[in-house]
Amino acid sequence: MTQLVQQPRARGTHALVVGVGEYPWLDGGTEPRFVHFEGMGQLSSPPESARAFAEWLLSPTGYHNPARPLATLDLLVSDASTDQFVPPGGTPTTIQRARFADVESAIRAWFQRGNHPDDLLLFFYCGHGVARGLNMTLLPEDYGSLQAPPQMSLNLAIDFDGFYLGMDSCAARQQIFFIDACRVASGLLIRTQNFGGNPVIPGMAQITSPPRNAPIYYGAVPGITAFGRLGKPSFFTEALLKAFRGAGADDISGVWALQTDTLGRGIHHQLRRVVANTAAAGQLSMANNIGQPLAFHELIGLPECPVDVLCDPESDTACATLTVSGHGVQDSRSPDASPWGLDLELGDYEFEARVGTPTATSGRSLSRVAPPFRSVKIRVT
Amino acid sequence: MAYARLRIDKYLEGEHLAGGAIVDVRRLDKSRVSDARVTRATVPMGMESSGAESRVTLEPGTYEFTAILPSGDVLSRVAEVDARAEGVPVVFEMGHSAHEWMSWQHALGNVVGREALQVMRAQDANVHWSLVDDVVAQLLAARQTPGGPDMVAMTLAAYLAHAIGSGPLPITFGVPMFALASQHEAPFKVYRIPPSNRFDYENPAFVRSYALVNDASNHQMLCVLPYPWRKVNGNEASVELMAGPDQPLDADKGTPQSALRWSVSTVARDDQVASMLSYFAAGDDSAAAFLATAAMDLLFGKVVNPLAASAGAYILVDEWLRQSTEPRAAGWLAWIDNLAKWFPWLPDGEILRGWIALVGRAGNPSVETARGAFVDAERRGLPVYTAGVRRLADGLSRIANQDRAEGREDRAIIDALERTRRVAWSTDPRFPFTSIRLWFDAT
Repeated sequence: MTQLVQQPRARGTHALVVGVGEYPWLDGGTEPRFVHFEGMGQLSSPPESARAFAEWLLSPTGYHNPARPLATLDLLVSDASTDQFVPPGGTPTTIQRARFADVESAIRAWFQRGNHPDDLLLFFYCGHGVARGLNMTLLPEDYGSLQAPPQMSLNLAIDFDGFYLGMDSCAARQQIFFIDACRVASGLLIRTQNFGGNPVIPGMAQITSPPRNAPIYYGAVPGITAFGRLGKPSFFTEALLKAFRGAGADDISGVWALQTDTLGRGIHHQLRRVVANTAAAGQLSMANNIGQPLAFHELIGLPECPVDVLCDPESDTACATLTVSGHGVQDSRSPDASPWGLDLELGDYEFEARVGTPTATSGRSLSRVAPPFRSVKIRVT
Repeated sequence: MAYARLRIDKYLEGEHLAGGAIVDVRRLDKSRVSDARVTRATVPMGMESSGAESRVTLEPGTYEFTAILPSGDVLSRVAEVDARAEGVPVVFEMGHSAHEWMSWQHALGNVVGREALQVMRAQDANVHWSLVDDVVAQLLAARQTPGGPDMVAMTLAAYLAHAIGSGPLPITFGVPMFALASQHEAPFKVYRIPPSNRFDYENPAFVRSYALVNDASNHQMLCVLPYPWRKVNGNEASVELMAGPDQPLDADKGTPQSALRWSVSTVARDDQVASMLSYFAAGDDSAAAFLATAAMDLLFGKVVNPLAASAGAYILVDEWLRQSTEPRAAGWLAWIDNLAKWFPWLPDGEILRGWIALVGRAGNPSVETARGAFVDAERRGLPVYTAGVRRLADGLSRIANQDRAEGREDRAIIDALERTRRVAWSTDPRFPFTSIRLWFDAT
């Protein structure tokens, strides 16, 4: 384990962050390739995604939950290039790798740290995942090392659905899961029938009362690859962290805060934005078991909201110079066929379009910007 | 006081969606510190001529109305609400669908609008426009055998146990089947199920319906149909299926195409329930719960339709369990027993009853009650709702885990779990009604 934070608190947030990029027994790895590697190989995004999520938790401008401050943070990363993590404003720290036994013991310790009903547990995983229908399996670094018979390899994989059921017996009744992994079908999983990996925490029959709040945010829909990028956080993690800045926020409690019920809307719009015109434009996220709204991060300042600006009619956007002003923002964009994607603080703005050709026309729109998203259409006449 | 009259302008083939979308109302001309929400309301979808509108009573002032559609799209309007007698109209524009026959699928977020489709055609988006050309759908009707195992579920279980992807589902149980006609514009096909003959939900031998959808390559989906579907006004709602590309239409040329190729979304055109189910399937539980709560008395009061009541119960059951000591929530939890008892062909009532037993009303769980309910639910057949497949698999897993820990072997639980897991592994979680994929392409 690499506990980056260990602050004893009466009520707090306990985070477990796992990023797996190096898979020695999968394609391109350093060990004999697992015969059922099923197209899976080395990844460079997950270590960066895990580090980015951990940085957000640790940053003074990041995670802010006065009722449940960050009490512990455990980070495990399997990265072919480095085993170091540099906390914001800190010095490099060597971090634990994410082999099955490491993840298993980290999960058990994390489970035990959530020993108060009001504690909040955060679980972030980025790496390979395989799925069948409603079920999903997460693959730690040493997946494939138990090569014969092939189904033995699943002993070193995590049955996420079983794990999720098992977490119901944890004392902490607030839990949030972020799963940034592919959900492509696996032939091995299908053939192994009733075994989809080790749940680590076996489930019990009775549902613990009171029922927990335990939403799951998935980075991909079933059958779809969750696209990563070379040496950068994945699209989902980028969208998630952007949504944390405001698109996923609500003010029902009187202050702007990230809420579990509105976060999915923010992720949806940010993901649409970050995958545009890239190889991952087909990716969409999913959320399950959202349940009762839970405010888990108060924004410091006003929420930042994604805004798409375009002309009405849309065909004029390609030949319009667009400008925005307000809240100290003064910006413009040259003609381009795609909508102008902006991230603006909550507030009122003036948007203008000037179309030079074929005839000089223009339009103006006074619009309010607020979470989760706004589409501003400037009527051009 | 003043009031605003809210409506989303949407043509729905002469119908309207009373519970169309949720709208958050914020006051803008008072304190600007927090902009805290004033209220949340329901906004109907429909044409002005349908009379569909909702009224929100407010203090005179300037307000922002933000509608979150089932697709996740956001529409907003700022309006000055004054004390005029006729109220202040606030009308949102959500655009048109490519065809009238796609209007409900568009309203519910299953397909993009006409303008977006035109842009994609103009830009030659990476869509396999001919993807569903060879897709056909057949309607199966299967009468329940009171007390006996459901033949469709048994046939499916045997198929999934032995032969995934090796051929078409063998329809050997002698049920009538007929091909469904479609309206088609590439890459979509919409199939509308013809109105039903007389039916009685309380008949133990109720005839359940399914659609078997397949293409020329023997890719098949079995869709559990919420059919026939009676609305709260007593009329029968249209039920329709749409086959379309599995990937979003704006997928870039470089996007690897999903092995899943095409998928099928099912809609029951019920003005009170359709949007609620779309929010629920999309993971927007708070919007779904808001609509379900608003329609609770309609859904549960007279049991006009046990399918609609089950949908509301799946959305609200966890909230009821959290409030189980409050009389109203306790009353609804007890009412689930009726859903299970009065409709012995419906698995979903028993699944909900089993789930409630695992938590226990007022904190008195009964694993034995849950055990019986889940085994009976699985015997009744395929759950109508994806949420039911999930809860049945989870419930059976929990009991099997505990049995294992206690050294107990309950064959009924083990066998039901094995069959249910196979169904769960093939169920598409993106849609509210159970849709089972009968082929497998590992990457």
